[in-house]
Amino acid sequence: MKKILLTLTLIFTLTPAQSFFNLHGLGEISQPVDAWNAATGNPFALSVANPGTFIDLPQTSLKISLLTIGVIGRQNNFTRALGSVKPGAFYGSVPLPTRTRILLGVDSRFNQDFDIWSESLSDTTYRYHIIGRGGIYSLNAGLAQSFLSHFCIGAQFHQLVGGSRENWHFCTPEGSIATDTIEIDYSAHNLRFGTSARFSIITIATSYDLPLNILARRSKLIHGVTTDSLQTYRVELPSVLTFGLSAGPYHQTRLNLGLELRPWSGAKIINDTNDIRSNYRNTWRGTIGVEYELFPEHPVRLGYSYGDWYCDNKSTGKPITERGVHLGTGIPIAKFGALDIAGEILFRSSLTRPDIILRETAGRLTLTLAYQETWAKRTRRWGY
Amino acid sequence: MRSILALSLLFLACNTLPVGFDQIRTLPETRMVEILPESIDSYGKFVPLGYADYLLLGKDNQYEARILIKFSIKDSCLDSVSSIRLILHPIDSFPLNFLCRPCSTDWSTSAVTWRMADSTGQWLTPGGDYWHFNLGESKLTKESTVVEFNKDYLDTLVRRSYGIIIFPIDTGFTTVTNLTSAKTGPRLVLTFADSKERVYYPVEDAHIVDSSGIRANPYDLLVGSSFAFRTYLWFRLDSIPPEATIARAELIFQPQTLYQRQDTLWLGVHQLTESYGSRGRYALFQENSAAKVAYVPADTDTVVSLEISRLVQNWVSQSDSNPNYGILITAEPEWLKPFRIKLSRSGPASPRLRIQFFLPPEDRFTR
Repeated sequence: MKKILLTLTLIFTLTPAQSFFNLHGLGEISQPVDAWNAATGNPFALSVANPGTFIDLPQTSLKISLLTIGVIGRQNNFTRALGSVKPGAFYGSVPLPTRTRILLGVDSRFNQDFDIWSESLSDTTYRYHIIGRGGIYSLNAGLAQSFLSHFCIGAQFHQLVGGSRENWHFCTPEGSIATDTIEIDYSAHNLRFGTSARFSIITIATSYDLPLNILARRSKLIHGVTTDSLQTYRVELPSVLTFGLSAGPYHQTRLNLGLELRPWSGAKIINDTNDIRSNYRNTWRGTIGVEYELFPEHPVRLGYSYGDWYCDNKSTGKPITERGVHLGTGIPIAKFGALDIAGEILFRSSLTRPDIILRETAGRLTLTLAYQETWAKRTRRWGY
Repeated sequence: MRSILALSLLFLACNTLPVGFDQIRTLPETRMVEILPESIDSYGKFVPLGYADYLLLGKDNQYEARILIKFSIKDSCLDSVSSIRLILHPIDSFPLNFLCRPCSTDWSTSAVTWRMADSTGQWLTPGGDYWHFNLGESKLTKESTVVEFNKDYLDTLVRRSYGIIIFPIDTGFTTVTNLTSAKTGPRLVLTFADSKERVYYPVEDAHIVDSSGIRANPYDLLVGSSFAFRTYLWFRLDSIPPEATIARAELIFQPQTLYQRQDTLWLGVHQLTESYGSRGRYALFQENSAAKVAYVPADTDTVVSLEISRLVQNWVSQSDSNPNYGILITAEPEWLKPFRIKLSRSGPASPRLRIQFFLPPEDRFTR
């Protein structure tokens, strides 16, 4: 088993990309990377990315995650695998007096990694090999305030930065003869508000992201030289609304429900001269998950998610649908915290031509190291 | 089972199947253009043939080739020489009578031609200056040919000559090995009275070729070897944007073979580095060819194609550092046995540049 895991990790490390659909829109929306949450379907409103979920926080909490992704794409009887291993996210929350918390974090908003080969072009043996790398990342800082042990509200400022680099290699049987590169730098900032309330075993949570205005500066390097003048785009994304409901623990069982609404059909992409049709759509994503404590402190988690991507498949204008099966567990680490593990299998598909479907099966393995309580122990040892 | 799993995943990861490519709605635009040369010229030139792989000897009604060989013979021991023999090793089996005379003007391998003895001085008589007596005669026939020299002219050969000129007597051409062949190169063997022999190896050798028998029309576009004919072409590439990637650029033409001494003819394309308009036939060009092709003139419909994508790419995308001064079509190399082909100035057989190029891709917001 250990050898198989090692082999899989090695293969995913050697292969260079994540999703065949990432060449559309701004790429795949990155869900908060936290294995605890991922294993129950990744309900956004109940995750640590929602600043309003911190009703209880007696100690400092730090979470760092590693994400391993493998993708198998199938189309026209062709099958191809891609994969990557990378740091997923970091979330930290520090309690202050008067039940206030400071929230810090780094995570990913959009992933733009892909790797695609063309068919032979026309009657020649020339081919394109297009490799996209990059994404949009978020540096987060915020405050949360808990009331009466039943309510919490929070606000978080997000500074979005990132960039992508697409290399279009033009290949012949002798090798790559030319490479055109498209580079895009992204910058934006916005605010997220969140709130939650808990009564008995029921917790409800919601979050709201203000509309996002992303500035994208694009340049092209043709034959290694910047030959195209800079092009600036403004991508206006409407707000995001999420809801979550958690019931439990009840007989060692917790039920999580989540709903995300992205009314993005009104999204705009504006360049220096005119508006470009965004092809974005109004989408929702629903999740359901269950956590069951099979043995004390050894929970088993299971989840299901369903949703469409916010962007069309541009070749047909059809949606990209995604269904996910999620499962995981947590392993307590004495005097430290816990190691949470989540495995997810996502089934994506979209029509790329009237009679041809591109199907993608993505496997994600998330490891989250949760660090807690250490400072409280120090306090006791020093006798303050 | 584990191995199969690992190998299967490795195969899936390493393949280059076109999964997902048809999602790209707007592919980079691809265009094909065919450009005729806007400026054409041709010229003939005596070129040094000293670095050829062999020495060529022979003549016919169009070409004549002579061989020059220089030995460094010490003159301190000539009194006791009883015989002098020149040994040559033919490469071809064509029988050819020839005669040897001492050369009376110094020459150098790197620059000697039918007209020039070295880089600065001409022969007094084109084709080499020589003393008008025969050192010896023989016939090239077998694996090695021995020419017995008249020893009466030994003193002249050693003290007043700059090697030997070998003249063809018969019609036809043959080749002999040169000094680069360690075991079978030309050599001069001096036999002394005590029957001892001393072998001298060449210090320089070359062959020179004349083409005075050719009656070429000055408007013909010729490419040829030995006596070099070169054709200059200049194509206007303004229609190709500088950001284009040249997928394929082929120089194509249907030549007419006028003369050949070998089955396969080699042609090359050289990039000019100076303006042909101002420097004419003295315009410098890249020594290394941008492309070369072997061409077997089977019939008049044979199309010659030279792939010069990289050259055209440099002209288009780096026009400041690689200005387009045009190209020369030459024999490649020019020391090959004589051949001559003619290119049409117009019509479907004339030279043309067929270029396939594509424009840069669109970014994710506009494609």
